[in-house]
Amino acid sequence: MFFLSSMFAGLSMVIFEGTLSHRSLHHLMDEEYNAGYEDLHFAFAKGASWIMAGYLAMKLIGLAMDNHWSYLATGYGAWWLFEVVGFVLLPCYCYAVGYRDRNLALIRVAAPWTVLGIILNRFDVGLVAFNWRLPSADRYFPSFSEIVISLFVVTVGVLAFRFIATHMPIFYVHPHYKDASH
Amino acid sequence: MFNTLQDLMWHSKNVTYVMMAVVLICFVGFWYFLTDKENPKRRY
Repeated sequence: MFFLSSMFAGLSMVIFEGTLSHRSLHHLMDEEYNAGYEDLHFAFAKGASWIMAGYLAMKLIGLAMDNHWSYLATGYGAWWLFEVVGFVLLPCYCYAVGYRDRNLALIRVAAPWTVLGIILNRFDVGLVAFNWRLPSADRYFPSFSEIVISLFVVTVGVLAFRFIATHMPIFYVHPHYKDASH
Repeated sequence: MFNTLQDLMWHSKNVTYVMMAVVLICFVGFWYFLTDKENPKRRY
């Protein structure tokens, strides 16, 4: 399930990151880069919606295989439904309609929505549902230093991306290699 | 109510196989929904 969800997480993250980059780094992008931008996003939306449909099917089949239908009536079941319907089914539908109707705005809404869903899923696995039978006092919750380190790693990632994107030929062909075929 | 593990497995597998068939049929519908506005590729 992690492998499958990481596939549409990656596709969504590329769409989301591309949208942010176009907002702040558009002046660095050359014509060749911009030419394939929309088609790439439509292709990614089609792929993401298809993979999310498969992920949904696997979630349901996993529920059936373990015969855990009764859990759906509990608080944890409601939270599971909130995650699966709210952050997988609906973004999947948005991607599908966005691809079908060539609606880039809808795809741009679905991408951060899906990324949020992945973050929620990882928190559910690592925090909410981890040792869920224990009393809440014995459950794991990250310490302040762990939260700070996580924020530090994300910030370093963003800063490294920004440094590389603004100082290296990522969005454009380097002038020295303009005529090179690659 | 399941009295034995065999009963439980029998029930779970039955439900799962029916769901797998339904899911596969739904996938075909979803594929048509996703692609029916695409321009058909000319094969000649």
